[in-house]
Formats: sequence, structure tokens, C-alpha cells
Amino acid sequence: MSNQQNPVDSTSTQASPADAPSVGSATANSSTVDHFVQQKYKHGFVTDIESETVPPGLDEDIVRWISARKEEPQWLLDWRLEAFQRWLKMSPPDWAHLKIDPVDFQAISYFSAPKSDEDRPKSLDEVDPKLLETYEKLGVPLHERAKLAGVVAVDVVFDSVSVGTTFRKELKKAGVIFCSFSEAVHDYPDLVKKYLGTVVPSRDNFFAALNSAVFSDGSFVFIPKGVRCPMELSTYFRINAAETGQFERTLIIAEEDAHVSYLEGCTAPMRDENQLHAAVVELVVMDDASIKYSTVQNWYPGDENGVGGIYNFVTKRGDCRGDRSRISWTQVETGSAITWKYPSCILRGDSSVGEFYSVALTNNYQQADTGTKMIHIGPNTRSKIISKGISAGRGQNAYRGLVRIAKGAENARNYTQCDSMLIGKNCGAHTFPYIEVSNPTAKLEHEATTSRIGEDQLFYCLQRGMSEEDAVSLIVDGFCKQVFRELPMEFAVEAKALLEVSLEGAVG
Amino acid sequence: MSALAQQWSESLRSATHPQVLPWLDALRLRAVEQLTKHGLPHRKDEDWKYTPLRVLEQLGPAVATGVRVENLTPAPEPELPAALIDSADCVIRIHDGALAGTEGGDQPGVSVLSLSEGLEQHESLLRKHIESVDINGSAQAFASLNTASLDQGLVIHVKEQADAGTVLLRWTLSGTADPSIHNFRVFLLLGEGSRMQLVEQYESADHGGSALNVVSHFDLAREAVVDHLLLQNESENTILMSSTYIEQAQGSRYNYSGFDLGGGLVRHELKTVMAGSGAHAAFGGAFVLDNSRHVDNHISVEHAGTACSSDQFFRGVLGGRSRGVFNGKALIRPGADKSSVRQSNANLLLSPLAQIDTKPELEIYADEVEASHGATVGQLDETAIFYLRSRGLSETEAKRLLVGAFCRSVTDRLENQELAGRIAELIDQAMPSYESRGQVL
Repeated sequence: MSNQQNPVDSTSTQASPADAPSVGSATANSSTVDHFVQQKYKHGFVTDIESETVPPGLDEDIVRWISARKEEPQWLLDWRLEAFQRWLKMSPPDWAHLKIDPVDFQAISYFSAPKSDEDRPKSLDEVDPKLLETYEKLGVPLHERAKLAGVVAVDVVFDSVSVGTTFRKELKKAGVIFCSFSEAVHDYPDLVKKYLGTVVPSRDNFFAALNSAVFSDGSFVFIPKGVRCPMELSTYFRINAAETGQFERTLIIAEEDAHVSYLEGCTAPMRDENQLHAAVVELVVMDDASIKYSTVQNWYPGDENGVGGIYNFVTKRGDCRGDRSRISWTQVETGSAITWKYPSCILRGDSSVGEFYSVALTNNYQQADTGTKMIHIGPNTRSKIISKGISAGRGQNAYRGLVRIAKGAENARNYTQCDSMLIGKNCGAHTFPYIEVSNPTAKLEHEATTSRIGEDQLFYCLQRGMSEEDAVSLIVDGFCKQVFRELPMEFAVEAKALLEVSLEGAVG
Repeated sequence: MSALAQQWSESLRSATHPQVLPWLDALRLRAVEQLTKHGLPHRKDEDWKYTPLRVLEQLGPAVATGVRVENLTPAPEPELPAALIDSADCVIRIHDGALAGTEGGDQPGVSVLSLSEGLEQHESLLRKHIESVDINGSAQAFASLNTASLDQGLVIHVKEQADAGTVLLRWTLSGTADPSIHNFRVFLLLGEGSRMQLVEQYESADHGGSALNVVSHFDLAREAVVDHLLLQNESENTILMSSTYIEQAQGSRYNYSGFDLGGGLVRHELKTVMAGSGAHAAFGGAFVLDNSRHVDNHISVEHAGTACSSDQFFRGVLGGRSRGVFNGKALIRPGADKSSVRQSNANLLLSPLAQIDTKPELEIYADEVEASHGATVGQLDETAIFYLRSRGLSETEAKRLLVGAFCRSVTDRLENQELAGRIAELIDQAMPSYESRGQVL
């Protein structure tokens, strides 16, 4: 892809139709499609562990209770209460291309922790075997992972409280802080106080305010100056207790010339009630530092009739404060009934870089309104957006992205590509790109295509002796390749498998 | 701003209209209520987030209704080629939102009527169109205002297989010390297989900062073909709000080319619904702006029938403190298979204070479609300028040439080559005050 573009050349501004899979007319293979579309959610089960859960409802007392339960300092309680007061005055956003049944925020329980919290296990061996079994079922064998020659450290979040953390010592040796958010509040209060809410202020939006008031736990990562994190950091989020909202709060700070790759993945057991998940992720990147944040999201999407499923309303934002800093978001979104998520980059530092790679898949009655925001403030800032949306069944998939070039962002550069693939007659694929430019030295390109799987591609594969499922899988994998390439290896494998499971045969 | 809407509503409540029709009176009242209740669009209306309306405050509280005295000021010299004026089969002048004269339009099968005459002859058809306009909510305030004051309009009816030739609409506003908002409604009813080339020219001799709020309806029966050219070269204090609703039956073709080279605050909303199969809609346009001009193009294309195609093609050149907005939307309804959609918007920012906001949207509910869109923002290519300078052109000449070439992709789409050449000249004239990094172009 050439980065130079002559705006006089009108032809280069259009996505070539040749880029898009061509369109055929036949509607064969629908039976195979149906077969695949009706695939059941593999990870649907409930682990019977006693939880300590507050009664449903939200008022100031609940906020105080959560804070007290976590033995938080006064300043944090005040911060929560201020956020709560703000939240009371706000209303849920309605601009997304989503049909959301009104959420009764008083019917949700705002805290749930495994009861054995008092005597928290010191090592994985002490972890509740039932819990480990749960992860076993999920195909995330912690032991195996841990044994994977120290490649990945896992900070497990079961419901709302961290249960076990591995490789902490090794990280400590490098000077890296990787712990649960509650621990960070106690052990590194100055750091938390300095950065909390500076990227996503509590007034940012309805769900960020809610999260700020009631956040339960999450991860805290601090990479000091000049340190390259010796391993990839990973957290598995999981929702378990019924009707429990989960409000994660993640804060990652990379000081000057620090580098880290953070992986986040989720699966959830089958539930009939809609569960609300409103997480907030804040990234802070200083001079010459970089954060790579990868997500595989596979929460329960609801059944084939659109009953149940997770509401995933997430605010993720990174702040490139330093010169030559870099943030890269990669996400594979296959789960959740409704996804409302826009991982963003504020490019403040000179020559800072923001990247967004996304695969979002909606099947059955799933809805997704997802994308990114690239706010160019500093000079010579660059951003790149690659978004791949796949809609099947009755799924509705919308890309919504903003690229804003502020007055002072001299020589800013953006390239955006968002492609959508439609599988079936009843789904929808939508694109809402917002481009706002106030500096004449900026160069922006946006291109997008929407089409269905090419009949000729399918025919070619079949004619070579491939089964239809394999052919579809191959084509979809090719469609998403640009994004998968950005994922760490083991995640890329998982993502590919996930996509196959979520989509198998949904093609006709 | 909401105070202005209240004043307008107040002035409309007591208005009397020449046409007395119970359904129209009821609708006008409902529109006044909507305007009173919701006020004018604001930044929180998604469709208006890039177009602030502060400049409307220059307008007076009254909205003209009823029979107007025709006091036509001398029309400006036409900027269109003389050949086109001469060859126009019909020239219609609309001054300050009232019909001010019609010449020609007497070919067989073509009738040019005032709104009152049109309502007498085609009441049910006009009623259908009038009632189809969404007047709910603040985002639709200008449609509400137009409906609330609806008594001036033009109806052109073209019988099946007839050719209306070239119809020229010349819009002017008078210079007045007391600027106000004028409303007008246009109906173009095209029978099966009929044809028309419509040329709209917005240019006034002297200006007092008045506003024009035009709502147009195009009804294209099967196989009807309309070429619609709009040339707007108003002064910097002129406000123009135009909403165009197009309904396309099977196999019809609507081809729009809009050139905005002037105006203060200009907004074009063009909405087409292709209900029949095999219809085609093309929207091309260029906006070349300087000073503090603001031009907003809102295009919405709805594919409801099968095998329809649409094309949106806009080029923007922004200098001074000007601001350009492009919002192109394509909606493909379930079942609208074999649809083809193309959107393209490229922009040149030539001044540090200019701004462009572009939003090419796709909303697709059918799988057998081919859709692509592209948007770019950039500046003139330094190497291209260098090349031209090495060939002996001055920097200014080089820049003019490149900007001309950039807009050429739009004028080249016009079938009438003479007209395309003339518009290219006008684009060139619109350029001089452009600045590029502090230098005068």
C-alpha cells in the first residue's frame, strides 16, 4: 500500500470493485449454512461455586459497600461517589445502530466475589479445583499455559476478583508491575491515583461513569522506563454468577521506552438473563514506548432465537502522551449479544502512532456497533485502521469510526480500510465512518467494500475437492488475515478456531 | 435559535393562504406545531452536527406567505453559456420565493403550472408527495417550515414519452435591508418514458443576506430520465437550504450534478428512493469554497427494488476559513439484490483554517450486493507542482491547473461538453483567493 497519494488522481480514491469478492446469483448451499448456523455454544455451562453477592440495585450505599469491602482509601471512595453522582444525571447512549431492550440498572447486582476470598490461594495448586475445572472445560488449561515455558503470565479474573496470578516474581525481577487492580490500589496507590481516570474520565460516557462508580476489579500493569516486558501478559475474563454485572477496570502504563504486549480473552457460560458488562480500559504511553493490546472476545451471544447473551458496553482508550509512542489495538469479537465498543487512540505526542485491527462477527441475532476513534493532535501522527466485519444469520454488524485531525496535527496521516462480508439474506452490514479534518497538511484515505462470499471463489475451492465448510473457512480466514497477522501466535490460532466455530457453514 | 423558530411559528400561525384545502390547512398547522415544539436543528442532531446555524440569526422574524406582489429586480447577467439560455425550452424565474415569470414550456405534453393550478389538476399526486415529507423533530425543521408556509410553488408535468427539453430555473433574492426566509416548493412529475434536463441557477444581483428554503419533489415514472444540473454562485451572506425528494420507478434514471462555488451557508439534502427495479441514480458534485463559506451535501440513496445502481461522486476544494461537509448514505433494503453502490469523496484542503467533514455511510440489509466507498483528504501534490514549474508555469498557475484537473473529474461527467467547459471556467474563477500555507494561490 503506497502511502503517497496524489489527490488529483481521482481513480485512486475509490476502492476498486475488483477488491471485492464478486457477486453471483445462486443461493445454493443454504442447508449446510443452516446446519452450521445452528451450532450450539460450546462453552455454555455453570460452575457451582459459592459467591458473595450483594442484592440487586444501585445506590450510594452500594458504592460505599463495594469500596469498604475492598478496603479502599478515602480518595478512591470519593472518586467513585463523584462518578456515581455524574452517572445519575446521564442517560444511556442511543446513537449506535443497535436495538437494545432498556436495561434495568436496579435489577443488577453490582458485586460478586468467590467466597473463598478471605484465604486467597497462594499458588495455582491451592486454587479451587472446581475453578480450574471450569477453565479446563473452556480449553484454557492454566497448568499447561503456565508450563508453556513461561511464555505467558495469566492473571485470572473469575467474576470480579483475581484468584491467581502467575509469573509475578519473574515480572517483578524486570521491574514490571502486573497485578489485580485492587492490589494496585493498596500497594501502588500513588501510581493508581496519578493515572486513574486520566484517559477515560468518569464523565466520558454513561457506561464509563457507571464503571467508575462500581468497578470491581481488573488488571493493573506498569512498565517502568526502558523495560521491555519479558513475556506477553494475559488475562482471562469470565462472567459466572447469574445476573451479575461485571465492571472491569484495566490500567496499563508504559513509561519512556517501555514496551508491552497485553492479551485479553473471554468466554462465558450459558445464561438466560442478559448480563451487562461495562468495562473501562485505559492505556498511557510515554516517549518511545508502545502498548499492544489484543482481545479475543467470545462471550455468550444468546441462543439462536436471540434470547440471553451478554451486553458488552466497553470503553477502551489509549493516550499516546509521549513522542514516538505507539498503541496497537487488535480485537476479534465473535461473542456477546450486543457489542458497543470503540477502542480509541489519542495521538498527542509528536510522531505517535495508533493502530486498530478488528474482526467482528455477528451471527443469529447478535448486534455489534464497533470501531475506533483516532484523534490526531500532535504533529506527524499516523494511524491505521483495518476493520473486517462478518454478518451471518440475522446479525447486524456496524463499523463506526472517527478520524479527527486537529488544527495542530501537521503532516498527520491516516489509512482506513473497512470491509464487510454478508452471509445470508437476513443479516446487515453497515459502515459509518466519520472523517473530520482541520489541517491542510493531513493525508487521509478511507476505503470500504461490502459484498458476500464470492460464488466463483467458492466454486473454485469446491472444484479443487474441498468440502464446502473448508472452503468457506478458507475464504473467511483469508478475509480476516490482515487482522489475525497482528495477533500473538497462540491467540491467532484461537481466533481462527473461534471464527470457524461461530460461523461454521453459515454460508450459502 | 429556538427563539427564531418560535417567531417564525408565530408569524405562520396567523397566515392566510390562497389555496383552501382542508387537508393542506391541517398539515400546515401540524407543521407549525412541530416547528414550535422542536425548534431548529442543533449540533446534537446527528444530521446537523457539522453544520451550525448561528448565521440564521441575521434573519427577521417574519415568514412571507399569501399572494406576493411581483417586484422583480433586474436579473443578473447569466453565467451560463448563451447557447444554453437560447436553447432552453423553458425559462422560469423565481424571485424571493415567488414565481416571477415563465417563458416557453409549451411543447406538447408539457405543462408548467403554479402551485394553485397544480393542486387543481393533480391534487392527489401532489398531496401524496406533500404528505410524504417527514416533518417530525428538530432535524426536519426546514421541511416543517416549508410545509407550514406552503403556498408558493411550481409544478411541471410531463406526459408519458414527452420530452420537456431543457428547463432553466433561475433563483434570485432581492437586496433588502430586512433579510428574511423565503420558502418555495417544486414538483416535477415525469410520466413514463419522458425526459427532462433541469438546470437550476442560484445567483442574485444584489444581496441582503436573505435565505431561501426550497423543497423539491421529483416523481419519475417507469423509464423516465432526468438530468439535473445545479449551479450555485451566491454571495457570502446568502443562506440556501434545499431538500430534494426523488421517487424512482422501474428503469428510471436520475442524474444530478451540483456545483457550489459560492453562498454563505448552503445545505443540499438529496434523497432518492428507488422502489422499482433496474433504476439508476447518480449524484455528482463539486464545491469550491473560499472565505467563510459553508457547503453541506447530504445525499441519501435507498435501494428498495432489485438490480438498482447508484453512484455518488463529490470533490471538495476548500480555502480560506471555509468548511465543507459531505454525508453520503446508501441504504440497501432487504431483498434489494443485485444492487450496486459506489461512493467517492475526495477533498483538497488548501488553507490552514479550512475544514472538511466527510461521512460516507453504508447500511446494507441484502447479501447480493456490491458496495464500495472511498474518501480522501489531502493537499496538492508537491511533486506535481514542481513538475509544472519546471515546465515554466508560475506556482499560482500550477496550482490553478491542478485544482482545475481535480474538479474536472466531476465536470467530465456532464454530457453537455459546452456546459462542462463553461463550468470549468467558473470553477477557475472561484479559486483566486485560495491560500496554501500562507501563500496566495
